[in-house]
Amino acid sequence: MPVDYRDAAERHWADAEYLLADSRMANADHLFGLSAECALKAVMLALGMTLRPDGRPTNPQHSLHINNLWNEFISFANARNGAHYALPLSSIANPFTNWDVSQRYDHRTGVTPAVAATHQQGAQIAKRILDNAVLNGDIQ
Amino acid sequence: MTKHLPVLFEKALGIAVEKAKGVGNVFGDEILLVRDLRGRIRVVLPGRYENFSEKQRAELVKFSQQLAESLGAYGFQPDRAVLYADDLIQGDEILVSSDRQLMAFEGGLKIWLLDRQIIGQDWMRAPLQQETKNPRVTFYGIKGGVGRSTALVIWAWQLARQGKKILIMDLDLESPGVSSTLLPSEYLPDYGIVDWFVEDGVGQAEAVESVMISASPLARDLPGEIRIVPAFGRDTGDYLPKLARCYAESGGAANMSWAERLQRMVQDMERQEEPDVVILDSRAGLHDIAAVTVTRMNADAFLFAVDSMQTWNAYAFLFRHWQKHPQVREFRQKLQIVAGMVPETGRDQYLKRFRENSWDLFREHLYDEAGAQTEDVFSFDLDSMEAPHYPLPVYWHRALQEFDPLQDDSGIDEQIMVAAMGKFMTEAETMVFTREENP
Repeated sequence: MPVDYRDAAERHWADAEYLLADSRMANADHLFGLSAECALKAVMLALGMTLRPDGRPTNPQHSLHINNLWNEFISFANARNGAHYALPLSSIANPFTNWDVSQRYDHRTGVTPAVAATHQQGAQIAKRILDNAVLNGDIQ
Repeated sequence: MTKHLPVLFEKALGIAVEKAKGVGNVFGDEILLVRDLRGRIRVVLPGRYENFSEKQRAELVKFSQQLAESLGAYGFQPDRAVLYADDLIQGDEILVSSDRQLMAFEGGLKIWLLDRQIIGQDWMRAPLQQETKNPRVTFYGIKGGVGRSTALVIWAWQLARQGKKILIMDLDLESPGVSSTLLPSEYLPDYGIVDWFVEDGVGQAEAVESVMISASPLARDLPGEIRIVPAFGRDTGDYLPKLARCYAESGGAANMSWAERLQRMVQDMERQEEPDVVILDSRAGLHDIAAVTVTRMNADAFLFAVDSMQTWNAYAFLFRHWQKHPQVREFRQKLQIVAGMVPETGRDQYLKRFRENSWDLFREHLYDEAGAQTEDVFSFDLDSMEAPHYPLPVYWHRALQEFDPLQDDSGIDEQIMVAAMGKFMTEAETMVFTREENP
């Protein structure tokens, strides 16, 4: 299947919300991080990020998970006429510094409701940026 | 297949509205069209796709197909033509956004447009709440070179002679002018308006707000004062990188429209200075930022014009847009047309023609239909002197062409000033200072 960051962001977001509503914190939290990553990558693609044939970003600098992508997105968007997309991210500190893609191997008690709530907010900000890019027509 | 002419921007919206009407109330009693930055149009429906019935989904397929086919380059592929509010974080906000414009209302179906533009929809929003008490006046010109800045300087001087304290803000950031006429470079404050916006962007406007006002030497020997907030100051440094950051819609961490930021800046200055009147020197043109000073700052607005088709056509663009403004009934009462640079010869003829063209402009776009018998109808006769279309004249005078009162030791020659602007000044003072007493 071809890469579709926008669709991926949307389904990870919807599933994360679904799990959170059922108090399944650990997997909800994992998906909030993936949703935010996909949302930002969808916008980066619209701003000129290129992909290799296998679907990974051409520049390894962009192959990041959200704990590192958050700040990378700010400089990427600012350098490509996307300052208005970077602004909501640069206004707050990266909420995903304590998120890691390998937490899928961890015990479920590692994610507290407070941690999940922080990541939910971060994912919501990223999703809002994606939505704005869609409404602006930068993403079809 | 027959070859169709491409759909161009100005046709696309009408087509989308017609297609939406064709759908009727299948999806509820409201349909929101969103026009993106490039002008392409899609639909946002409430709820989510999964909630629609089989029958509605079949209609959706048809509707998306129709939009895609009829809108050409201004449409989207069928699977991208419709968005669902529940899929968007701000979906519910969008559906009730006060930035929507009602495009059609028939058979119980409301069709709205949300127009996404690069710098938002500031001038279409409601006037801001002014917390300070002083009157405000905007000097606006749809085109440059109509004597706007000269008139502003002379009026300020006249008010200072009466002992008034005038605070002038040079909002013509793209080509700052008033500040250089009133403030020679050695009088500039450390910073100016661009610095306020840049520092406010990182939440520290207070670092510059007490060092961005200077007194103009023009009022040195007068009982009143002319205080200036210039576009830039002595320490502003490189202007363009700051200008490029001025218009961001955020102050500090908060998302805030440009007009709201401007309002905060103006109020900061007003609180510091407590002036008798504030004059906003707006930039020329149809730009959003210029229009904000007319529609949202609670200011009396002098609209400068010369009697040329170019000018009237440009104002017609603006007024046509304002017709759709939700608050047009409030701010249209604060408009006053000014005839700038009225020629020396054939004045009466010129002003008569000006008045007729101005009347046509207002009648067509901003006055209520004549003949209505109610008390508060907003409509005026051609020769009604209190009408907004009835021009306040500023007469052309050779001496004002090279007008630079600070270079010339004599300052402003009173006779010339009265000859050129006497009528304007008397009327303007009545307008601004009596309205304040009877809000």
